Amino acid sequence: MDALFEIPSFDVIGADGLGRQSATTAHAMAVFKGQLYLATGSAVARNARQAPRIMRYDAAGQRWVEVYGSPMVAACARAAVPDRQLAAALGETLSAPGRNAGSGLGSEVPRDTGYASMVVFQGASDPEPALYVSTMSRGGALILRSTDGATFEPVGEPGFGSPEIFSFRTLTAYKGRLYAVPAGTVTDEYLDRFVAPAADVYVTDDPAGGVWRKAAEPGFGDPLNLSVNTLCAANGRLYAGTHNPALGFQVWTTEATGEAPFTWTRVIDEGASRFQRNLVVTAMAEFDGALYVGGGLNGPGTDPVHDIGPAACELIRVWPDGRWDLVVGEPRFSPQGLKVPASMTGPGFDDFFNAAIVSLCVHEGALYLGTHQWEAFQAIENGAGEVVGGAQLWRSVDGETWEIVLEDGNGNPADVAYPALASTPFGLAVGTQNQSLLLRLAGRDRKDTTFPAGLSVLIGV
Amino acid sequence: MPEPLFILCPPRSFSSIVCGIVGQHPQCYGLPELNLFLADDVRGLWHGPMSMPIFRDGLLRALAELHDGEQTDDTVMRARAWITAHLDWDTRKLFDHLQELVGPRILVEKSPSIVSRDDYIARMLRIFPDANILHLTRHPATNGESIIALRNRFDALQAVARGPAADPERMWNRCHEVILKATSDLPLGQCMRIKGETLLSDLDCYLTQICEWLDIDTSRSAFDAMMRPETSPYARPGPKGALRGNDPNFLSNPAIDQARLARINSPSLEASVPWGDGGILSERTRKLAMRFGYH
Repeated sequence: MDALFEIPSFDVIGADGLGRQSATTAHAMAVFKGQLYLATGSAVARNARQAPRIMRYDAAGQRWVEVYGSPMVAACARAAVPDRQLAAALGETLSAPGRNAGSGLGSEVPRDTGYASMVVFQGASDPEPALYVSTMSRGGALILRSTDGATFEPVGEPGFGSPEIFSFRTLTAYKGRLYAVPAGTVTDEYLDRFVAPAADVYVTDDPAGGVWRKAAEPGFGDPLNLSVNTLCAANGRLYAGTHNPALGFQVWTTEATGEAPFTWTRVIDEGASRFQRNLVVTAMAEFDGALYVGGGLNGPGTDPVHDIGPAACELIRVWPDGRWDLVVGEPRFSPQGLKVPASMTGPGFDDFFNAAIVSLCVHEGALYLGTHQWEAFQAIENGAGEVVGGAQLWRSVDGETWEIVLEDGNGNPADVAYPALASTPFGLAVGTQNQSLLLRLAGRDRKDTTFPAGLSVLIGV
Repeated sequence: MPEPLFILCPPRSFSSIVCGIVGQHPQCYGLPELNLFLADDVRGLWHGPMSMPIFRDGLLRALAELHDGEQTDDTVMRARAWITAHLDWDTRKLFDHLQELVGPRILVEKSPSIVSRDDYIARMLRIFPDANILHLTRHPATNGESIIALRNRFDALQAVARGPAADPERMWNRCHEVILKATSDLPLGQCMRIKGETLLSDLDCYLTQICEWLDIDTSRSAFDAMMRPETSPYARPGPKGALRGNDPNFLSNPAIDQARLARINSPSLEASVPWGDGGILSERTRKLAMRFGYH
């Protein structure tokens, strides 16, 4: 009976994109100076009203405060280039919602389309821990720094000197240094939100100084690794998960001794013997002495660019000595022995539509994970009587026995993913990704595809 | 009685050697190609798809061996007579009869004909809904090359390999798609997939896992038995009247040839294929092959 009360009860503390329905995604959250910060992103950011923001939750007043909004910049060719994933999935027409940004060249558009990652870190130049935030910018990703949580300033060059880097998906602190991995490529021809120009890992001990070095050779020496997608410090080591459409993700680890580039060791390859259906490592977290690796497909249920899937996600557990277990997924043979899911649960937690584990977070002794669940799109395509589906939140206290905490997007099928989880003094914070616009487009012949729009934030206590 | 193990794959995908190896495990019994799931009953089989002698040999050899303890001209004749006397049996009853003769060992069977059509594999799963299934893959280019080479060696095969359906790439696609479709909703772990190249390149590693999966002995003695597929009663050409019942190459050289296994390769999926006009594999083939771990 007591166990029932261990599962958090969730309250919505933010909805409708926090007053801006163009804010579709809660990409990241962090606690800084005792307060919760949220990095938002916009699928469509054409004007100042649609600009993404960094928000702070005023717990006492139970309200959200904007602490940073994307500055407006002159539109350039990159402001309207088509999104490769959307183009592959939906066609060119729907792939460039920013194509008519403003009135074209010469008009102003938000510099950023979102904020991808947040971390509290004290670098060599920081008198105290600062909040660092990575941007998603068509002019090249930036790192923003704030020491007071109210003012943010860019530090360093766009894309660390490579302005075709669209974002830095992960900012991770490890052994007194800050690490970043590029996510996405933007050129004058296209935008790819997932695949970076090179599979690099960057490191610095002074992000405020803006000087970053490469922490590994590109792709860890394997050209089939198109990107490094995720970083995580666990068990005294740093782990990196890759995006590899040819053979499936890899996980590499280093103790980062000496000067960069460091020596890395591969602990998982070939998508943990599931090959390209484990396309990319989408989330990692340390829990109870092991590294938990969430994988899957990071597109809209499939990877339309590389024509992979649909396939449901898996959860892998890596021990400090490099052994790995299958926790959730498909039984199989592997070079490390027969792998049977410890949870006795198949891919996607037995839900075909859970395409990726997009977040992992430890909170009050339990491991939580959020999924990207795309059933609503399939329901529309199949002409189902009711549009159902939506993100799921799962919880485990031992890493093997999992129980569902939130499902069906908490009542909104358009909330397709929970990409942001954070353990906060107020409870477990859960940020959503909302695809109401795409669902409305996909179901334009139906009358029941208007769902609440804009991201939401929930707190579980 | 234990559930049987069916090895499913297109022709020329290492299934003969794998069936020969696993079938020699002391708790298993490797069968020749029975082609039993092409019809609902023995009459339908014998006078239907099995009317081609090449499809009859395996069953005749198995019955001769299991009824009389040897495969000779006489015992094959008796097996043929036995079949004629049991035309009214259904397929399941015939399989159960073989199982009874073998005893409580896992019957290991591989008939590439099963995966040529959706209804054949559906029949197999209807009759044995809990069967263990090993989905074996081979690189589409080397698989096609092997099929062409075999046809070139045997005029009889060359003669029947006509029309678009005989295209090795098309066969590869069709067979694997039939397998995937039939097995996609099976309970977790009932169907396991492995690349033949991977399995054969490290038998120590993967045979142990196959035994774990089947919940049978993983000891060294069991492994050593599996490493002698040539000791199977079906590992040589049969007597007159039932010469084949398995892949001709396997029948002429059934032992594990480590040097040959070391030469197994997986070329790039982008390389031109050594048959037809020398083009590259289709996008459909490459996509499926990548799903299986080729690149």
